[in-house]
Amino acid sequence: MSFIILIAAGLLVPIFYRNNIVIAKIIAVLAFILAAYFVFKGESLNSIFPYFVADDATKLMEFVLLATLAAVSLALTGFERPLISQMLFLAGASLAFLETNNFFMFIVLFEVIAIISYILVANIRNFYNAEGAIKAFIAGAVASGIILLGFALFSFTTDSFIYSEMNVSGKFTLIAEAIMLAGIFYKLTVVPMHGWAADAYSQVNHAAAAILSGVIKSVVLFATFKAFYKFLIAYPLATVLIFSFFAILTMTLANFMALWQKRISKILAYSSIAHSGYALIPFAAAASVYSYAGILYYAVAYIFMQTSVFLLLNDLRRELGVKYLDDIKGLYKKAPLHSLLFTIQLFSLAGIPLLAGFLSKAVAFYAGVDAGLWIIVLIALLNSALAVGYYVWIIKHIYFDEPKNNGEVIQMSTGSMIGQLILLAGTIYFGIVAGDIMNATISF
Amino acid sequence: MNNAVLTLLIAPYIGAVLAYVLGKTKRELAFWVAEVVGFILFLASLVLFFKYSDTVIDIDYTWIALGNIQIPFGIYIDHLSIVMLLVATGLGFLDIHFAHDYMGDDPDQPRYYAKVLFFIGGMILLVITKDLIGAFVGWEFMGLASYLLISFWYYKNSAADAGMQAFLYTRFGDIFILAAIALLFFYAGTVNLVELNQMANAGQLDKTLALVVALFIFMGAIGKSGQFPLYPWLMNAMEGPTTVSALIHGATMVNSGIYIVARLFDFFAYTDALFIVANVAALSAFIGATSALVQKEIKKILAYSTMSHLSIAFVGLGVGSLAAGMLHLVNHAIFKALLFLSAGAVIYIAHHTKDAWKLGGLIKTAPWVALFMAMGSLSLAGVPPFSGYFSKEMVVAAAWEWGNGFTKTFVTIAALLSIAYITRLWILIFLGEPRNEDLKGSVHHPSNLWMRLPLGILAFLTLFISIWQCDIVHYIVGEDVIEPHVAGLAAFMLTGMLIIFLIVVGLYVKGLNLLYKIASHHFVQTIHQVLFNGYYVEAMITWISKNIIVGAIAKSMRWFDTYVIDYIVNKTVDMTKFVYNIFKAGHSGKIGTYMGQFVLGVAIIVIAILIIVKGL
Amino acid sequence: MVAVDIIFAPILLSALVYFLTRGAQHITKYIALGWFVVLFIIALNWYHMLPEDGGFIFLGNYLSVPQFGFELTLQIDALSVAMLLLTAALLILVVLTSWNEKKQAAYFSLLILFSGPIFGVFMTTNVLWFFMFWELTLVPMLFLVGIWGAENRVYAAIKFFIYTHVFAMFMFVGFYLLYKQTGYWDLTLIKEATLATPALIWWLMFLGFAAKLPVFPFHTWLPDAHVQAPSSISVLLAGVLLKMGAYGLIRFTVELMPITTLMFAKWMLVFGLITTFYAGFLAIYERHIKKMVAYSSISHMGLVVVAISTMTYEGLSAALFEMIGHALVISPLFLIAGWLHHKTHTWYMDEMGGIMKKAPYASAIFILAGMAALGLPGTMGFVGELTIIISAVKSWGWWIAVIAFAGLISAGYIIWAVRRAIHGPMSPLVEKADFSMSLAEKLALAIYAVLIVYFGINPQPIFDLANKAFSFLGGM
Repeated sequence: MSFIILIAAGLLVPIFYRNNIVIAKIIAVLAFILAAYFVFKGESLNSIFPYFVADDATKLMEFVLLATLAAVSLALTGFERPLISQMLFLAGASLAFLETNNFFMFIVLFEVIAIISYILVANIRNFYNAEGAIKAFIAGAVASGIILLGFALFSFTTDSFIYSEMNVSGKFTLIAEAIMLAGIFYKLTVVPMHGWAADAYSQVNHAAAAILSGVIKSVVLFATFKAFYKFLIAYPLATVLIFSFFAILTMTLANFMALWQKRISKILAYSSIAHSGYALIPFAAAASVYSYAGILYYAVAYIFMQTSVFLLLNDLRRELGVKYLDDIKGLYKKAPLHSLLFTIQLFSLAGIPLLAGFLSKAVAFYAGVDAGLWIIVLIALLNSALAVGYYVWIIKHIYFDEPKNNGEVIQMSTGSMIGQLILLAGTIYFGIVAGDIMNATISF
Repeated sequence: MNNAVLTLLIAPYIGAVLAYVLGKTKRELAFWVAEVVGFILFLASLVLFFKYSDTVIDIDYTWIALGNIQIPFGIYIDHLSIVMLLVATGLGFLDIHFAHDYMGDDPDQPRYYAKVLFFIGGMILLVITKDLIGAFVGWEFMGLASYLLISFWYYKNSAADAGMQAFLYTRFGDIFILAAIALLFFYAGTVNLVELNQMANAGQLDKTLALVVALFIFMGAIGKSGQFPLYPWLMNAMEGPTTVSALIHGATMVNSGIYIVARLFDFFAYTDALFIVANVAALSAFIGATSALVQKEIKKILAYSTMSHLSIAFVGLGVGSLAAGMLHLVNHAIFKALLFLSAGAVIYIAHHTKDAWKLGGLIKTAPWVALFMAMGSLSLAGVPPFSGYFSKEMVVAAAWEWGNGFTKTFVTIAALLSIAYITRLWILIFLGEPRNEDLKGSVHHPSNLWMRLPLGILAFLTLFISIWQCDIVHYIVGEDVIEPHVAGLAAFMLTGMLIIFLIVVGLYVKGLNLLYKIASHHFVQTIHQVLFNGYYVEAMITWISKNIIVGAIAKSMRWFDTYVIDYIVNKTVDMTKFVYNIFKAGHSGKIGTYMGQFVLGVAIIVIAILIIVKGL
Repeated sequence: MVAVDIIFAPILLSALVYFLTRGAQHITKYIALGWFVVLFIIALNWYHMLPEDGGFIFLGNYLSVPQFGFELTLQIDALSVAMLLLTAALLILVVLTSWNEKKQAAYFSLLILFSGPIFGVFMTTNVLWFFMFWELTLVPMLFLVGIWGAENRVYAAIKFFIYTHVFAMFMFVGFYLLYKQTGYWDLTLIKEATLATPALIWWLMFLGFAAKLPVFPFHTWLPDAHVQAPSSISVLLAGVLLKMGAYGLIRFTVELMPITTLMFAKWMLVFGLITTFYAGFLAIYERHIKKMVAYSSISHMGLVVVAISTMTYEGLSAALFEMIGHALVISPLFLIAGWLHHKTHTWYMDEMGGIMKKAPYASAIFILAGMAALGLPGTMGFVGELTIIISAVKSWGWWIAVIAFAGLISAGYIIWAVRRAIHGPMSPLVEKADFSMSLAEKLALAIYAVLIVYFGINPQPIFDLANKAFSFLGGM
């Protein structure tokens, strides 16, 4: 049901958004709420189609996803309107993507989401947007090709595509897995296949970037983990080696790159890449019982904070033309509420406690320790401490510096405010209460 | 607890606070509070003297209990304590009384009296405590009071420097006492002064440990009592008000080193540390006496003489005669207080001229002061029938009988020379013509009640206490005293003193020209310089602390901190920039580059997998 | 519920204060003062509830996550109560000393925000929550130093934040391994015997605490942060934040892993000794008045480490006393150092001089606190130093008596500082400065002075607490 509602709303919304964005927003939000309700009732896709199973963890992820998308749609204005219906489609596709227990469906939905993301970034207003969109598109196309190659190979070796019944033994399976992983790494912006993301995230419209880097990445992370779980535990050595290596490489490089950027969106883009690195640790530690909880927690926390910062940046860019670090000097005077929210979400990204960013790292990294990878975890933690460098650097510009010119104080629009508060609530709630996620993953 | 003891313990501090607070409202009140409290303290000491001539007050109290350790803070008052109490409170009272005029013009009187009372409190605490902890507390209180009083005129660089020096020199000694306390706690199990003596007598202590502890405590005594090599602070301490010098740096605080050795006399005797005490003291006595010969300032002459006489008392203890040492301590306290206060009177009369060479002829304007000072001088010089004679004779005799050659020689020289420098001082002040234009005009006239009376009392004491010398000895040490007897020593000493006296009188009264002539010889000049600068010990210590401790050690650590440790910390920023620049090369923004990297990534994964597959 | 409320209420309260008092900023300090007084009263109440024979008072379990062993367990023993009382008292005094601070709404709401996690650190026995509170205390400090600090404040604030954060990460891995190897996040349930790699865990945790204490060579953040912070915040940094390090060291090494700690105690001793002397010498060489005080602070924390390294009943009691003593002694020194800079506009002691004449009250307190810092009897400094040296000699043998020299070194820098800044003839800068002091500041300084002297003469109340806290080590 949820799927149908979302797709229907997605078709309905374009009728309204040109004339009255409020109605469009209301429809979208209602659709998200209804979808959530049916997910809660256990009637999303699994009640209609086969190959879809919603366990507790998946449901939680879906709630979070829907809430986030609702928040984003509330925050949107002006030329970002088309995003609303795109997000409704995205939500539908994501629900399916998250719930599927069939590898074939996984590949198909992966492509669907990739296509939606191309459409998202296609909201081109200037040269920069165009460059970013093209990079994202080319990258996505290549990744799709690679994944299909791997999948083709894989389909020869397995009898069934149901996750639990897949045949994962044999050399070809392993090679197929490697090739698919390469494609998915590309999507997850794992170094060295991250170059496009650093540019695309910072160059496309920030609202699109919020969805691209926040929502889609989280969804892909979680779904991929579920899809590949059997591979991961079947070849522990390969898993540990490959994922640890790429985790460290990704986070280290991205953090160093982020440290010296001047463009805020670029910092956030690299921060997003670094977070992919952290998120690979539960993959490496798949053998641990905490890995599923870890990846879920990471996806949940990350979706809130990353979406929120990009949306805030979007607001700031629209209202104050903020692009570079210099532009946000003394921002707390001009935009106190934006500054405060931005700061809290940045602290969450940095892994400061009582915010989701910390607990997600705590659980995800604990999975690493549990699997005996404490050295990798130590490196990851030191990396996250290094990352504090650039988050604090942004905060330093906001609070410690004096503004260059005294503009007037800008207000936050109601929609944006509600959206931000939803995201903030998520960040804080999951920063204090770990019970939901741990309970949701207990059955895995 | 006994009321008198309680008064002695608490009254000084209450008095100090009251003097300050009341003095802030009306300046005159500060003096009166101090005077009254000083008198009460003296009365309390007298009460103890009369009431407890037979029994000992012994109160145990646990100050801190932590873990398995109990830090005690007991009270123990025996005859030795009572004598010290009488000296401290009696002289303290007279000193406060004298300050009425001497400090009369100072706007900071409340501060002055508060500090003096605080000081007396510290001294009392030291002499009535039972444990080394309490002694250390009193000891440090006095150190603080001494520091604050020397720097009383803090706005003068010299006074501020002198205060700092006094504190640091004495602190250097004090930390050894702190270390000694810690060692005793663990190795002897007690810091109780009485018990330590008993244990020493019973031979229960490890000898090496006891020697180390004794030497540590003696280090503290060296610092406090101005012995070699930590004496220069005492001379610079003369920057403080003269009343302070009289009380703290002449009569009481500097005695605390002697007191602590006397208090632990059995302990020291047991460890053979007395041998070292005697030798260090003899050397100090010699240094003090010779340096006193050439000083210019009245107070510096007195300061060196103080050092010399403290050393003489130490020699008495060191050669094994507790009686001689303590007797000299008491006598010295009285005549030194008299001398300092007389010097104070002279300085007061002469409008704060301190250089003896700029005085002269004061006998006409201040005959009473001249008389009292002469009595003090004679006592110091050791001329019978003044009290100084008896105790000094006793020390020298003890040294001759029990001391080694070094001790014997040096202490004798020091004892003989005392007549030289004190006569020289008296002649320079009172005889001849005024060598200063100011003195020819009007001078201050000392008042009878505030200045002459305390001087008179002290002069009276230093003369008449001679009658009770034996009683004092017996009171402190007990009935069975082995008094040293060296045949013909008295005659030798007196003859020597007479000769030296005549030479000095001849030179300074009649032969000043001859004196100048001798002094202009460059060899004599060199000696003069060495003596005048106190054998350059101060210069050496200053050099070490300035160039080695601060200039070398601290500076190199600072360098290390700035250019190694913090440099590394700060360089991490540059390091990240360096890494950034390396990584940045891969981010051209061109899709082609990214595709290349993509291929690299795929290659890594596939190759890794192939290697693993091969292993399967 | 009181227990968990006083940890989380400040977060809400600070937000309310920040947003609702924009118009009337001056009332924020009364709110803050009231809140801290409430905290103090609650802590005092717990003080009276402490069981005679040591052990924990159980205050509740919250937010339980059984799968992860993760729950907010609040339990306090005498050690925690001592720290809580100290923290609350210092917070009250900090409000008094920042009575006229700029941007009051933000300042005091950050202070209120700080009070939550700092209480949490001392109240929880859950290691993960301990770490969370530990990290959270950094955030208000970052802003307090970064916004209200002196000229180089941004550098200092960021250095402080990142430096301590980096070292906390080592500690965090240590905590992870604790949980991994024992299956408990709760301090009181973790058994050392079940640890597979105790040495590794010990060193990882020690690094975290060492940077906080700080111990040589991880100390360089401290002079910068303390110097640049406004004086009242220096007080919090020195009085509370450094104590977290010492508290952690006691809780996580001595109490949690006594066997391993015994093995590495000599390393702790070496670190402590080097810190004491190294920082002491740095203080001697320093011209900068607040840096001098900062190094003195490090030097005293070195003594605390020495005391902890003894791992005995006495040693830890002495350490606790010195921790409290250090907080009360170093605070007025920081306050007056900062105040002098505020008035004379110079940091350098040799450019001051003769301040006694114009500001006798502040000078007198400075001298008193200085005397306490160098261990003069009658002050807290002496009792701390005495008990530390006694317990250290008892545990480590006669040679440790060399730490008495620390007393000489501290005398060196304190007396020299007094000589240069307070005594001497008046310098031109002092001549033209206006040394007026607000009543609140005077009151706060007087309270510090009274406390220093009171506990210097009657230290037994603190040792009674210590006796309860460390009675498990045997004795009495």
